[in-house]
Amino acid sequence: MSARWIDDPILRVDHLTMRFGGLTAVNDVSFSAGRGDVTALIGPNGAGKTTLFNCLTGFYKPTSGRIAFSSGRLDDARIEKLTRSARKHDGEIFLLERMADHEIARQARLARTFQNIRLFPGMSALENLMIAQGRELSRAAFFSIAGLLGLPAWRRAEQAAVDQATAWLERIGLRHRANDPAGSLPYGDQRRLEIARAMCLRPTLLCLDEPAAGLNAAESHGLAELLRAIRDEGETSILLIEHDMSVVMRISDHVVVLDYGQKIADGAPREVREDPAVIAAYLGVEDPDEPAVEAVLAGNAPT
Amino acid sequence: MARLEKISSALREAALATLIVAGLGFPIIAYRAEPDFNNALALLGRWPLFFQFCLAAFALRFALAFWRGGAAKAPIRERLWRSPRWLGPAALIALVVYPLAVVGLLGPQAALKWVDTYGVQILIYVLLGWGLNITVGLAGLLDLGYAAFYAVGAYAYALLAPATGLGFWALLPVCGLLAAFWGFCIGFPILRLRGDYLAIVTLAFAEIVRIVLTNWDVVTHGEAGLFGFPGLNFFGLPFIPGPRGFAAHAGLPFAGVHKLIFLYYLVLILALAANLVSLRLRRLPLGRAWEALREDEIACRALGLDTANIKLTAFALGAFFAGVAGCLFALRQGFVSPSAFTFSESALILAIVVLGGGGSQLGVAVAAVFLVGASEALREITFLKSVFGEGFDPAQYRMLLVGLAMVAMMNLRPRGLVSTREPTIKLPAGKIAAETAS
Repeated sequence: MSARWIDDPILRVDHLTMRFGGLTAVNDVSFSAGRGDVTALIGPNGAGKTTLFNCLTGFYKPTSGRIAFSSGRLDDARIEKLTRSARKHDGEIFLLERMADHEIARQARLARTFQNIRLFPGMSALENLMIAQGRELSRAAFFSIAGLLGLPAWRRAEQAAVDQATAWLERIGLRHRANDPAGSLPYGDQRRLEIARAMCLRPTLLCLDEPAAGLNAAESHGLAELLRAIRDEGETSILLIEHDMSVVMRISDHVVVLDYGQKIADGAPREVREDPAVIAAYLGVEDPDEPAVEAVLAGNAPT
Repeated sequence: MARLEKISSALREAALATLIVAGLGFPIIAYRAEPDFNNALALLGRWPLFFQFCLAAFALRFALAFWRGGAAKAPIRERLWRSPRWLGPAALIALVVYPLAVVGLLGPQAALKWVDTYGVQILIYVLLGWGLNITVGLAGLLDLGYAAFYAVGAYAYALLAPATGLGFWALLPVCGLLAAFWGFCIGFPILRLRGDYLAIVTLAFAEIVRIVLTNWDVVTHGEAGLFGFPGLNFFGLPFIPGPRGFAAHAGLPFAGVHKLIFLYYLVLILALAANLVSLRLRRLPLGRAWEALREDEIACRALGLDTANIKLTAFALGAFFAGVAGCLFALRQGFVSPSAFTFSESALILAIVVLGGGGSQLGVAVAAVFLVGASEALREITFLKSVFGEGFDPAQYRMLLVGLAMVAMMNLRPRGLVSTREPTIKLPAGKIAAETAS
């Protein structure tokens, strides 16, 4: 059985490097994420996971490297052709390193959440989900003219958006809080609302930055169920950064491990868990500041 | 026993307050520098006055502490307030009836001031407040130079009306569009700025506009300003005495107030239209994007919103309203000069928005009535002259009262007059109840 991330990738990162002055946060990282997979990006603190995420979603412009993304097939010849041209995309394949953050969300349909939740706290839960559907709605509003006049086409689009938002609120169990300010919701609810908001973009790839951070055991179990359900619906692939190993091992199909900005392992969860480099760098070591860790790393460091 | 304790604590508090007043008052009150015969400055002791102040502080503070049981104990109370349903229609009827009622009650001559100063002027500020509310209240972009767009509108009318021969109906949107164009232009260089930096650049922009208006003599006539441009007419009928005027056609005796009543209704209609557009826009993707931008710019971009467009539209639409208001200002005054568009004008409009509670239409309108109306009303208080002497001019204390109002607001309603934000869209409560019941 060969892996999906090799046969049918949705995202291919080639030799990605991100430097901040003298600091190399991500160093020559290449990996693929499979279509329909849950791909987990793990690694100790400061390994460069969030930096990599910010490069993918356009918040940072990578120093060098290529990020190819497609909702169809990632065809090597077409990627090469697009790379030689000056274009950002050919309608199906997107070179994300050339695109601005909002273009990535809008055109390539890559949605993301943030490590420290970034909802619109003063606006209601429902409004948060409505803003995420701005693409469809603003087309229906036609430069706000159809919206100002209240034309039927606009009303239909608005109703459809409300229906989708309501469906998501029901799914995350927040229907009864729909009209409350998002900032007044409990922490766990805010996490789920942020995921629902990202899903309202109807993304092809959902990027989650530590979705289980700060959740209790029951909540992170519920989160894993939600993510698995999203994956099983088949529309959306998931890429997540996570520290909670129970979540990672339960739901991911593919794990990529970073350490000090470099990729040290890549494979199915079972393989990665048994990889000595990963154990040394991450899993088996409680406290990275212990002097013993240095010895372990020196002995088992990959060449 | 408790009474004694209360007195002693009140005494302590009063003593502290007196000490503060003494410390602050010593350099300000106790000595005054005055030129003597040789034109050299001499220090003049004013100790009796100094002690009077100290005594007053002691007595007042003691009374306050004694009767209210100490200061700084009153908690900030902010009750949620929802405007009752009848308020909108009632206010609308009052606004429509107001000029006619005033004329009916006082006669056309005495009503001039009431229709003009308390009617047209306040409504223009309401319009300005609603315009700035889009930029500051909804989109959260602090604009300290709003008067620049106001000036663009006013000068656009004053220059274009004689040059093109067009009437105000045609020029009204032109003024708005020109101001919006400038809003767009100022929007571009400041797209990357935020908060304080943005505020400083808008402030500088307003100064540039004002200084250009002052110094570009050939076009703007500098400080002297522009006047003599065509004024209002009633669908082609000028407001002049004689057979060709509006009064003769309507079969009324000529009165200056006719023009103002017409202007009043014109401003009222435009302000209501502006209100309607703002309220509707809030429910559209554009308006929601403005509010989302205020809440979290990074999240906006992650959701595929082009923040550059959102900022530009917020600036441009806010400026459009100001341009229209500027045109109305020119029509009202019949005279425009740079001195009408100073920083204090921008500050007044910003104060209206902040006092009103950012984002609330009703709050902004009430704040405009209060700030503009109250400072005009000060001129009316003539009986104070008999108390403080003939030279007393209450209007001089205008800024002091605005400051006091601000302090009072910060204490009583720190988030503005109307601080509750209603969601732009709601799921019906009935369904929710059914949901939780099942």
